[in-house]
Amino acid sequence: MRVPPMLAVVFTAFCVGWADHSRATMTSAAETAPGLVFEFKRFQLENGLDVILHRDDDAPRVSVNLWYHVGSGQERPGQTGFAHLFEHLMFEGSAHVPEGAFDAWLEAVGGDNNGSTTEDRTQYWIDVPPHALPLALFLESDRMGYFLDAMNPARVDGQRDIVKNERRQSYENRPYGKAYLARPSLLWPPTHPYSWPVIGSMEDLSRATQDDVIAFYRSYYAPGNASLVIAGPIDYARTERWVKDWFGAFPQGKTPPALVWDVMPLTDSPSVYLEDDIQLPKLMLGFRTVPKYAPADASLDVLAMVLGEGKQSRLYRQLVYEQQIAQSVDVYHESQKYGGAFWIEVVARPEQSLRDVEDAINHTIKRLVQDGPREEELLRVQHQTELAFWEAIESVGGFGGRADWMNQYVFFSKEPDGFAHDLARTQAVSRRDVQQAAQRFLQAHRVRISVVPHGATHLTHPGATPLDPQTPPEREQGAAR
Amino acid sequence: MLMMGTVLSYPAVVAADRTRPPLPKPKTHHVVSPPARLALSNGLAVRVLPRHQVPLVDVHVTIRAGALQDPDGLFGVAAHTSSMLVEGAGERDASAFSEAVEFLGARLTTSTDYESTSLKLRVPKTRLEAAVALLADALLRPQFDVAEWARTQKKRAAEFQSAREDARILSALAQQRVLFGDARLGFPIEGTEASLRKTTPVSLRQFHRRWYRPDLSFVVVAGDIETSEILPVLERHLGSWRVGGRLPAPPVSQTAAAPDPALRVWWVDRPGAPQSVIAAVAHTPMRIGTYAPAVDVMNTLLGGSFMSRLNQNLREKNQFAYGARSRFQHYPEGSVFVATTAVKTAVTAPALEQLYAELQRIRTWVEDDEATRARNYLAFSFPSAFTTSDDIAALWSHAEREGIDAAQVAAYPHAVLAVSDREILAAARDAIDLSGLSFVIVGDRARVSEGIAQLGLGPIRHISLEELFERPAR
Repeated sequence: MRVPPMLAVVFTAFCVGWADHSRATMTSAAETAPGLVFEFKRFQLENGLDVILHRDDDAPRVSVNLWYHVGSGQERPGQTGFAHLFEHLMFEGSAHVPEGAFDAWLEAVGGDNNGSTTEDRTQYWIDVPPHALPLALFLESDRMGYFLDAMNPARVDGQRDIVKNERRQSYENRPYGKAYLARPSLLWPPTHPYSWPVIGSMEDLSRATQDDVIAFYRSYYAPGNASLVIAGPIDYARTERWVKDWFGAFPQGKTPPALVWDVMPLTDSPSVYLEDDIQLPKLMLGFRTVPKYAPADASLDVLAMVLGEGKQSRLYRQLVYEQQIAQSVDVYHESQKYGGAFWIEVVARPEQSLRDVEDAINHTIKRLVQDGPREEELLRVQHQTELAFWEAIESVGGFGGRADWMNQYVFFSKEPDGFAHDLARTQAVSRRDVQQAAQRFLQAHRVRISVVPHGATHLTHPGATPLDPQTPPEREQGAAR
Repeated sequence: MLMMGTVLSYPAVVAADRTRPPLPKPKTHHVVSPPARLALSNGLAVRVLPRHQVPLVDVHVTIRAGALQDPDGLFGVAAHTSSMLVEGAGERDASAFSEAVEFLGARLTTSTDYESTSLKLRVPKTRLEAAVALLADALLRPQFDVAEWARTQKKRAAEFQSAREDARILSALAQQRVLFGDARLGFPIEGTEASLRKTTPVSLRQFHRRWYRPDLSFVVVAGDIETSEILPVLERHLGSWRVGGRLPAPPVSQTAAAPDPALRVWWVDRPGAPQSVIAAVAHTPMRIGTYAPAVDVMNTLLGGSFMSRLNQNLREKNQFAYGARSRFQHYPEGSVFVATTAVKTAVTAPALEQLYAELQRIRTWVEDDEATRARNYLAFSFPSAFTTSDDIAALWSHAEREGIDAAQVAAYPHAVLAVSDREILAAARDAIDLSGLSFVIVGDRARVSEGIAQLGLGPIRHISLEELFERPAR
């Protein structure tokens, strides 16, 4: 992320495709939640830019939300962190926008902007008062078409150092932060696109050059590799004309080849520990799952909520409330384009053995596999999901606003108006689906990371190996094609 | 050179002429609708703002009692009382209560700051009444069960322990201590570990009985509901809330030793830390309050936006930090100024020097374009404060608590645009007291204290974690 947002943004874990459910359930969700169906106008420019306009006259501002379909997954070895560094550079000016003017001009009209990078994609948003939409389109298009004209090595150096500060602030100087840097290489084989952290390594960031910037831009920042959502109180015809004027003249550019990846189950259960500047031990269990859209995807989302959403969730109830061996429980399913990860994170009580914590987790999972969730548990999750959907669509702009979700639906399913379908997909998950997902994915090999206070290695598992976040252990070879 | 105030109109169709940016003439288009002002039969004040974009309703209850109402010697009771409201209430024990809330797909949270306590309910409209009934149980009929308190106590104790390893939390705690010494404001809202151990369900019940009163409270409702619909629901569930006896006297003023103002630099040591968290803090000579146009414009320019001087200097120009911010925090006794950043350990001293330089510079000089930009940003981004019904309920709850009327809120963007450059400079001189400025550093002392000493800011005082987390015995 380029700038820490003033307000914490929570990306809910349930939003995914719906390929596994029938048309009938989709219709019923659209009927029960008619507010989740939005009008939009979609067209494609000759250069391939996918454009979605969504009119909402009640919104206070217009949001311009642009996704480039490139993330850290496309980085080459020795280049980790580059996609995110590139995101930073996009704010530094272009041929017709002097350095600093991007933010200066937007603030002068009351606009806000930001961006973020994941393994799959890079996202940029600009929120402006309605009458300032042309300015937002001018700025967004200028950096799409004329980015290289303003690039120079000094800008790369400047943003490189800022990104290193971001790494220090977000990971190195934050409790448990270093463990998150090590996670990707433990869960994924070295050739998998998710096997290194988005923020990258300090060494690789130091290596990035102006030539890398030029090559990356030419490979990935083309109109044909992007989708643009404009949402808010807009006039369709006028906005379409503006988009064509500002974005239409750029050449199509290359279409980068899609990565192809078969997700293989883990073949062993690596167990590592890290001694850190912390007081409460923390256990993280990671499981490989499925990409977005895969048949079990929605069941895994519901499973995560049954286990960890709210005080009545199984793991919170068992570990925090009943046994009082844990301080907090965090369970989420993170499915993306080339694979999914299911994480159970538990912050334990002081001096608590993480072996006991894992035993309690295993016991809870076993019971769920045996009996499945109760009907009222499933209903609870459905109600919680419904609330989350209304919250997701409440604002049009910013991180996780309606425009951002529409771009996410385009990215994963090609259909911008995916809200009702998505809700239906989650609501259609049965008790048996959850039970089977727990059995198939959580009773399998896992990655186990224990973070303990300095000198408290007795709280870890026997046989766990110490983790040096800078040099992660070798893992089995993957199957990239 | 760009003149931000210049009006550049754009044609209806721009034929991709990029020679100049399509900078629109700024305009305020947002109309602030004031909330309806009503009361229940027991006098409980209710404010309602219908908004029908999504079928959610937000109900925020504010009680005008917070950590400043904690009994002396039992810091944290206000916060612990509010957190226990949802750990068993009415006929339901803790488990049954959270089950009931979660089953409705509702969110019911409680929070306490120094001045007030809030219960915030967010629920789909179709399940509103059942959720309000649960909110009323939490507010009026909490159980304060012995076993549940024992559970919560253990969890809070572990939270205190983990806070010791979070540089940002340590900085925030040290800032409060440096500003307020060992008065109530010098300690966290959650109190201390010692007071946590001393707190019993009896203390919580007493606090609840004393301060949770309809005549010290108000309700703000925003969302997909009309005034005529919500009023009977609130009447059914909160109308029986009765005032118990006379208004409690304000807590005895806790006279406390203020920290020695000659001590300018305070240090919390974190050996091996890759970054230093730096803060510059000072009392403001006057209480400012929210919606103070000149101070707000000045702070937007100084450290309240991405283009602000602090962020541009420490992030973009020098690359010392990922970001730098400043803000004013308001308390009944007065306001405080806080500027913060987190910098690479090796550049702690030069970063502190730059931060200080910006605080001096803003007293003497402001450029037209940055002043215009700050005014515009503040005024024209104001509508975004009304984006969600949760935002709206929070905004009007704050206004109600602070006695800010709807007309003042509506006039705010216009007042901001009217602030002159001279008023910006005056606000900097009036509100940022450089002679009373203290610096708080959370970082690796061995590696950087020499550089800090060479800045000549004054003597350096080390604060131990024990000092930070415990109140000295009287």
